Amino acid sequence: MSVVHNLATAAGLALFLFGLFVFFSAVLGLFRFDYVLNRMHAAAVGDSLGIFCVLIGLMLLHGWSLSAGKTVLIFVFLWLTSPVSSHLIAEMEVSTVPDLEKECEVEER
Amino acid sequence: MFLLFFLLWLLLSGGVSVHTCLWGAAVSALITWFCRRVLGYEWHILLGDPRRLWAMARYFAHLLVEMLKAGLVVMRLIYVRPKSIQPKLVWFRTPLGTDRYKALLSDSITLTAGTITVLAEDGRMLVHALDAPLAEGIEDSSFQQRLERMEASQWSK
Repeated sequence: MSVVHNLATAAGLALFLFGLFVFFSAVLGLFRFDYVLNRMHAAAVGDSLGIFCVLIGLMLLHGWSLSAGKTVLIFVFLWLTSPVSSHLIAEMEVSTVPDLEKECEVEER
Repeated sequence: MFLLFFLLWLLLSGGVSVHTCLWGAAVSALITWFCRRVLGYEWHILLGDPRRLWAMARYFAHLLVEMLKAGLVVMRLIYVRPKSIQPKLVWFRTPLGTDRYKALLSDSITLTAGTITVLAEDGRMLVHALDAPLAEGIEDSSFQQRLERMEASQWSK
């Protein structure tokens, strides 16, 4: 039993640390990319991969309990709301920029 | 829907006792009535065929895997060549008919890092991709194929 517990703790810690690294990369990406729409992709990495790793890590560290169920709820609400907000920001950017072609290529399929 | 609210209540109240169960049942019934009558919600998507439920579950599992893969791809872009990316805006036409599936598709595209749905109107979608390879095959993505199959199975009944 204690072996399983130790393994879960180790995996949880590893995932948690990797999640922190992902968030660090997301912030770094915000500075490295040079246009709003590109920067949003960097933020989206933190939103999907970062949140996933940190919360799964926390669930493993904490064990299977009621808090784990609440963590799943956090997933549901975050992943329901984050695409809506990023869509709105992107729509605002595209509809207000006067010459979009200068920033990026527009293709019709 | 009643069951969903009741489970949510039990989860948030943090324990199963007669007291919480009774209050939970009362509140869930009230909210279910409110959602049906006042807000006009219907939950056909959750009820009915277990096969459709299974298809939904498989779709979300696939979405999760794609999200994680895309996250790693964009992380690599951040470290390897942040200045030489070729961002792209792509207009494409989606064959999906109902608004519910269109919304699912655009949400899935936005949730996978590297692509963001900017506009969706009249069966056309404008998607921003961080790098040109990420935009390849966006008009016939795996999400779209799965959703098309799910939509077709829904209409055939």
